[in-house]
Amino acid sequence: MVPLSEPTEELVTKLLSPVGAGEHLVGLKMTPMSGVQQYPIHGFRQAVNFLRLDSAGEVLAMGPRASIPYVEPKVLERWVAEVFGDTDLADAIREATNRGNYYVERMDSIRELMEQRLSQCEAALRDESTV
Amino acid sequence: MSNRERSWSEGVKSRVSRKEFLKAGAAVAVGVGLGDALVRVEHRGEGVVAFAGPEGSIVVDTLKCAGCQSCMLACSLGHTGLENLSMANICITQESFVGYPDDVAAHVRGRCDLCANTPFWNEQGGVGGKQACVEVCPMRAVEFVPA
Amino acid sequence: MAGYSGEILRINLTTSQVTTISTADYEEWGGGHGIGTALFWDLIPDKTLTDGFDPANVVTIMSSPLAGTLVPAAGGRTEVQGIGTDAYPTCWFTRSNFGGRFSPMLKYAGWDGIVIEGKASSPVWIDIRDYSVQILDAGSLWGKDTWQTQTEIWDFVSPGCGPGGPGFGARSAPAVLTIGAAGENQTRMGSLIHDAGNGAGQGGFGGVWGSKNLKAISVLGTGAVQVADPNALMDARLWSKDYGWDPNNPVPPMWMLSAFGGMTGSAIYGTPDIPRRSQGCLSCHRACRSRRQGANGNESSCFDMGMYNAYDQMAHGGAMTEVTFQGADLSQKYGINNVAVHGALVWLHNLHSQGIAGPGLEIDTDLPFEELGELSFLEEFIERIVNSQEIGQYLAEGNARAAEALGRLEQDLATGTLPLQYWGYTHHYDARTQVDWGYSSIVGSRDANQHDFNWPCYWMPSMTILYGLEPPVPAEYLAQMVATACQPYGDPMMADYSDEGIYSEHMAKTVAWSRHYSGFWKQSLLLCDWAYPDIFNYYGPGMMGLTPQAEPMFFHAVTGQNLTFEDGMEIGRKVWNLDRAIWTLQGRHRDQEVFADYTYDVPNVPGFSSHEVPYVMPTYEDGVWDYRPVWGRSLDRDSFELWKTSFYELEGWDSATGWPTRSTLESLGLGYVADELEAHGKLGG
Repeated sequence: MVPLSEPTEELVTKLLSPVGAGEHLVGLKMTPMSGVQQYPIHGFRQAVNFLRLDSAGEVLAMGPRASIPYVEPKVLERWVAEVFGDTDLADAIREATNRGNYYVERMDSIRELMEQRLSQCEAALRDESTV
Repeated sequence: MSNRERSWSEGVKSRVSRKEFLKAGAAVAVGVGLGDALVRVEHRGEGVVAFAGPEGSIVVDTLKCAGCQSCMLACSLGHTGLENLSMANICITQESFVGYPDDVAAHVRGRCDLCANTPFWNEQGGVGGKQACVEVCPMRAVEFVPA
Repeated sequence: MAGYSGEILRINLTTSQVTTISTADYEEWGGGHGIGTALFWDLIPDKTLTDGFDPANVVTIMSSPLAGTLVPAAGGRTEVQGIGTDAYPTCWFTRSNFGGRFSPMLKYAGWDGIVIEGKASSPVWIDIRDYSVQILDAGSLWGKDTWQTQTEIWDFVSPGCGPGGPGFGARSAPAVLTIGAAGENQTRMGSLIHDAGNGAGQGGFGGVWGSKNLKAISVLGTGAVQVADPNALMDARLWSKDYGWDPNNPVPPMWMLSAFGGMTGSAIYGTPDIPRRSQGCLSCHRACRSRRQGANGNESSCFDMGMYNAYDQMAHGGAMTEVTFQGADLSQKYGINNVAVHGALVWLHNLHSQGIAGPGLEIDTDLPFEELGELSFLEEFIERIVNSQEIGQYLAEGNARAAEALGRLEQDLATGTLPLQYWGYTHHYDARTQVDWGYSSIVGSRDANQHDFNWPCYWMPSMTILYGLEPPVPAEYLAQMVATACQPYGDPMMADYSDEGIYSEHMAKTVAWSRHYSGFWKQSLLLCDWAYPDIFNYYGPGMMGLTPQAEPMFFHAVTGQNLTFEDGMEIGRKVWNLDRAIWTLQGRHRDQEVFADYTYDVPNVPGFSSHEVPYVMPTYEDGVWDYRPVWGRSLDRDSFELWKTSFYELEGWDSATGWPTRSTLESLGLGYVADELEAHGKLGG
C-alpha cells in the first residue's frame, strides 16, 4: 500500500471533528435474514469503526449471525473528498476500488487506508501536545 | 371428574419441582419413585443430566436444549396417539424471564419405557431400538445410553 | 375433525357475554387467518369501518389444526386479525402473528380461537382455564408492563409459577397475551406481547385492545390435540429432520440461508461471546431466538434488536453492547412495535443531522440526541411516545401521521428521509430491488413480511458475492428451484428480477403465488415464515427444499384430509380474495396502491442519506441467467401501473379499479361476497 502524504494541520482538525448538518454518511448494516439497518456516520473515526469487517471465514462460520457493514465505495470516496477535502485519500480509495474484485476485498484495502490516515492524525495531535 | 380435570390435578401432584431435585446437589444420586421403575437422577456437570434406570439412561444436555418441547410431543404422540404435554414421560420446563442456563430444566418420569411400547409409532423401541425423544430432538440434546 | 378442538370462543366485552362458535362451520377456511377473516366478515356489523379504535372492531385470535402438534415450525404460532390502527392513510383490515406457546395452549384448553367484540366499561383481562372462561377486573394490572403483567397472572392462575417460584416451568404457567403502555394509551404503535419476546407487532393491535379496555388474555389448557395418523406424523417429522440444520454436520452456515434448513439461532444478533442457547417456539426445530446469560434480550430476534442496534454501535466505537438487547427488552415491556420505533428514530435522526430537528428548530424537540445510542435515550424516546409527550404527541399517531401533522410528510417521503415505503409502514425490504416484497405489501394491507423469495433470491446471492464467493447454486438452477416449489405456476421466470422482469406477468405470478401460499399454508395453517416455503435447502436432494412436498404431508397426517398442495393454494386464493373484498368495502382502489415518492424518484444507491444496500439477484438478460446487481434503480411509475394491471388480470379482478369480480368470487364459492360488494357499488366489472 502506497503511504499517504502527511496531512496538514487543517486537514487533521477536519478529520477529527464531527461533520456538519447534512454532511453525514449513511452506512448500512446488513444482517442476513434479519434485515438492514441505517448506520449514520458523523465523523471520520466513526466511519473507520463502522467498517470493521469479519473475514470471509468468520462470515462462512457465522452465517446468518454475521453482518456486513456496507458503504458504497464510490460514495465513500466522494464523502472524503467533498466533506473533508482529503483528495489524497480519496484518490487512494478510488484506486483501491478499481483494483479490488469484490466488495470485501475493496473495503479491506480502503479501511487500511483510512486507518493509516487516522493514525497520522492522532500522531499529529500527539506531536502538537508535546510542543 | 372429567378426563380434562383429572389430568390437570395429576399433573400438579406428580410434578417434581426443579428446586426439589436441585436441592440434592450436583452429581448426587436422588431416588425418585414414580410408577414401577426407580429413576436415578445424575447431574454430570455442564448442564448434562442423566435419568438412569436399570436398562440405561436418558441423558439430556440442558445447555443445548432449545425448549421446543418436541421431545414431549413425540413421546405423547407415540404412546397415546394424542398431543398432550401432560402425557409425556420426558418433561422440559422453561421460564421466559430467567437467564441462560437456568431457564430450562429437564426431567424424565419413572414410567418412561424407552419407547418399548409405542402403539402409535412404527419403530422398534426399547433398549436395542429407538426412542422418540432422541430421534426428534432438533438440537441433538437427548440421547439414550444403554447400561 | 382431527387437529381441531371443535369450538371457537366468542367474547363480547360490552355485554360480558361468552358464547361459542362451532369450528366446523368455518373449517373450509383452514385455520388462522382464513378462519379469522371469515369470522370477521360474518361478525363485523359494518365492513366499511376504517377506525381500528372503534368498539365495533372485531379482533380474532386464531390457532390452526397444526398448533400444538409435532409439525415442525408450525406448532406454536398464533394469528391475529382485525382493523388495524397504524396504516396510512387508511387503517385497513390487517393481520399480525406471533410465536411461542399461546395457540397450543388454546388448543389444549379446547379452543381453536377467540373472537373479541365490543368494549369493556373498565379494564379487564380474560382468564381461560380449559372450559372455564372468566372476564376479570384488570384494575391492578393496568399500568403494569407486559412482563410484570404476565408474571402476576402466572402467580394468580398457577400459584408459585412466577420467577423463582417452586412451580417453575411453562407447563403449569398459563400462556398470556398482553398489552403494555403503548396499547393501554391507544398509540398506533401498540403491539401484543406473549412471554418475553413473542410479539404481534405490526398493525397496531395493542391500541385496539387498549381501546377495548382489554389488558390480557390468559390460557391454561390441560387437554390434547387429536391427530388423525400419529404414525404418519412421526414419520413426516423425522423425514423432515434431514432437511433441518444439523449441528453435528459442518455445513458452512452461509450456505444455509434457507428457510427450513436455516441455522438455529439465526435471528439473534451478535457474536456468541455471551453464553446463550438457541430457543424455539413449541415444536420448532429452527429455534431462531435465544435466551442469554443475564437474560437481556430473551426471546427477542430480528427487528427487536435491529431497532436500536446501529445506534448502540455508533455510540460505542462500533461495538455491540448490552444496550442492543436491553433496548429490545424495553420495546417488549412497553408493548410497542419496534419496527415503527425504528422508523421514527431514523426519521428524526435524519432531520437532526440536517439541522431541522432540535431545540428551537423547525421540528422543535429537546430529545437528547447527544445520548443517542444509550439506553437512556431510547427509554426517554419510548416514554414520550407512549405518554404522548413533546414530540411523542405526534409519534403516538404513527410515523406518517406525525410527519403530516408536522408538515413534513410529502417532502420527506419524496427523499426517503422518512423511510415509509408502503402504507406508512417502515421500509423493510426494497420495492425498487426485491420488488415482490414491495409489490406484495402495496396490494396488501401492510409490510408483507413474507420471506418466501427474500432468502433464496436476495440474501443468498448478495452475501456470497459481496464476499467474492461463488453462490451455492447458479442463477439458472435457482430459477428451476423456484419453478419446482411454486406450484401450480411452475414458472422459472418468476425468479427474474431484471429491469424488465420486475414489470412482467411473471412477477405478477411471483406475488400472486406468495399471497396464495401465505393465505393458506402459512397464515392459515400457521407454518412459520422462518421455515416455509423451503425453496433452496443445502440438505435437500439437489439442494431442493421440501416445498411443495411437506405441507400437504403434514396437513394430512394431522387432519386426515387429503388436500394436495394445489388444493391448498386454491384455498389461499379464496382467503386472499376475501381479504381483498374487505379492503374494497373499506374503500380500496388501484389509484391508492402507490409507493412513497422516493421509490420512483430516488435511485436505490447507498450513499449520503439513502438507506438501501446492494441487491444482487437472479436475472434473465439477453437469454442468460445470472446473478446481477440490481441496485441503483428506481421504479418507473408507468411500468409499475402496467404491472398492477397484469396482476389484477391474473387474479381475475377488474383492472380499472382493482376490485374483485363476480365471476372470480363465484368460482371460489364467494357469491355472497360478490352480492355485498355489489350492494355497495364496489363490484369489479
